[in-house]
Amino acid sequence: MQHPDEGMIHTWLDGELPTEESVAMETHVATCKRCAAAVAEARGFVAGASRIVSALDIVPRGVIPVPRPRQKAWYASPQFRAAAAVLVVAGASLLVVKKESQTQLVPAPVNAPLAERAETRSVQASTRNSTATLASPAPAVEDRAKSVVPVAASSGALAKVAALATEKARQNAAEKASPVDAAARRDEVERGDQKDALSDKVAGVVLTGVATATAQGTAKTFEQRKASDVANPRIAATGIVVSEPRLIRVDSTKAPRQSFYATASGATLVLTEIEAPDFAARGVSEAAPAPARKRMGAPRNAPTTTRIMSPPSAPVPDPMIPFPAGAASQAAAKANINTITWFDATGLRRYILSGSVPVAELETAKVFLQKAQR
Amino acid sequence: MSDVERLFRTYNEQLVRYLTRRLGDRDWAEEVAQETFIRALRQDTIVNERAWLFAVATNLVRDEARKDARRRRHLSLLAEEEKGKVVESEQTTLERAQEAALARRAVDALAERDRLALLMREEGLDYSEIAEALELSPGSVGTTLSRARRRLVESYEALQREREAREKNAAS
Repeated sequence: MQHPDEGMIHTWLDGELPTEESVAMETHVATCKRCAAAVAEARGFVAGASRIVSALDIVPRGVIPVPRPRQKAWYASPQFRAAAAVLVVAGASLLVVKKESQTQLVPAPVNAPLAERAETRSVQASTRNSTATLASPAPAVEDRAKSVVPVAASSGALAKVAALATEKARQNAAEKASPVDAAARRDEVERGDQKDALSDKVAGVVLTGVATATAQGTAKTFEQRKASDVANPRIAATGIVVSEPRLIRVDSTKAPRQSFYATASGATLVLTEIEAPDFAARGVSEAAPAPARKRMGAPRNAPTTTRIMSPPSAPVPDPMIPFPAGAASQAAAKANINTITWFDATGLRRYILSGSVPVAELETAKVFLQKAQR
Repeated sequence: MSDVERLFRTYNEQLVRYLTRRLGDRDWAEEVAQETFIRALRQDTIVNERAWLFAVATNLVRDEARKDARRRRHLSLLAEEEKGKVVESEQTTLERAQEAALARRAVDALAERDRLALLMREEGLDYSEIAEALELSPGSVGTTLSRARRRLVESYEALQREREAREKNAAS
């Protein structure tokens, strides 16, 4: 047999040679070293080619990429939609609430006697627990004084303060004295003798904080009571004429908006609203310098009490004792203009309330104003 | 079971593998294979099934119009790949990927007829089938295959040496 060519060797290796030729090839390769080497090389090529071709199977599937889903816009995510919905609802609610609070403030019945309105509220409150006070529709001032007496009598230190408050309330009432008031006051003096006996009953009349707590024998500190008083405008600043300050006019022509209110006692309060960036420019920091700034991060409801335009000798009203005890101090307090400042919930707006009334009365007014702003 | 269904079950795997090796794209290969079986549906009689299927598949790949369309598509895909947007469903190691790339280059370096003959042989087609599919004389298939194998291996080894030299240079 002749030496087979490469093609024949591959044909033989592939098993494609006819049987006869295949046998002849086998015999020849066994004896021919050169052909044996050629066959060995061919086997290598067959195996090598096969391996290389197999390597072609490592094909990244998806070279033709599947159409990728279009990326959703950032605003199309469900989370954002939910957040947006919440914001819309919250915003709308805020608008409605704000509008309501504004309408509450402005159309406050200017002609309606404030005492009468307070009285109405007082009677409404009284009806819940007692019919005794409902029967005698005394002015709210008087009613409050009555409520306070038994409370004050029940504990030592508190008694002193409450007695002062009661006294002040009487004086306030006396300023606008009417025959009915006078009769009620006389009645009150008489009842004062029986205050111990009455305490339980009257405590029931007063709805909130001080009286109820005392009736239950809870020993609250005065600070705690005062805090709860402020929180509850109905008995805020014990003994003061409790009524909403009446809006007289609003001066928004100047940059810091100023609103003028009249209190039940006839004093005028000025509320100045200052936006955050204006703090420094307006020099408000002079009135309440560093502490006010610091309070930006602290609880914002705590008021800053400052006095301006007062002679150096005049005593600073102690916020713990709403009213100076002596007549001289009272006069000084009346002559002076007191000022309190506070921030709104956002901390971006600052309010300054001033007027020639005691600080405690300013605090009371503040509670009403804050309520109205909300 | 219809004839086409039987054909599909019998030859689809081989045909897709052959086409994948030929085209370097399994999706494309599957598409061509399907088209091949659809052609088989329209064919009244097929004497040598496997040879006919491979021949039709090969001709489909050769079809210039289709090729051009595919090329355009392929180019756009490559562009996508450049942007790193290709979704690879199979995890391939770097080494295997490099091996595949070399194999692809070596196979592409072959003459078309040699390449097709080799790929068909790798799918188990006998010489007569290859001859029929590629319209060759049966006696020339051995020569074609021997040439294809030698060239493929030599080409692959040359590419390998080239790469090793490049890596060496890069390292030093």
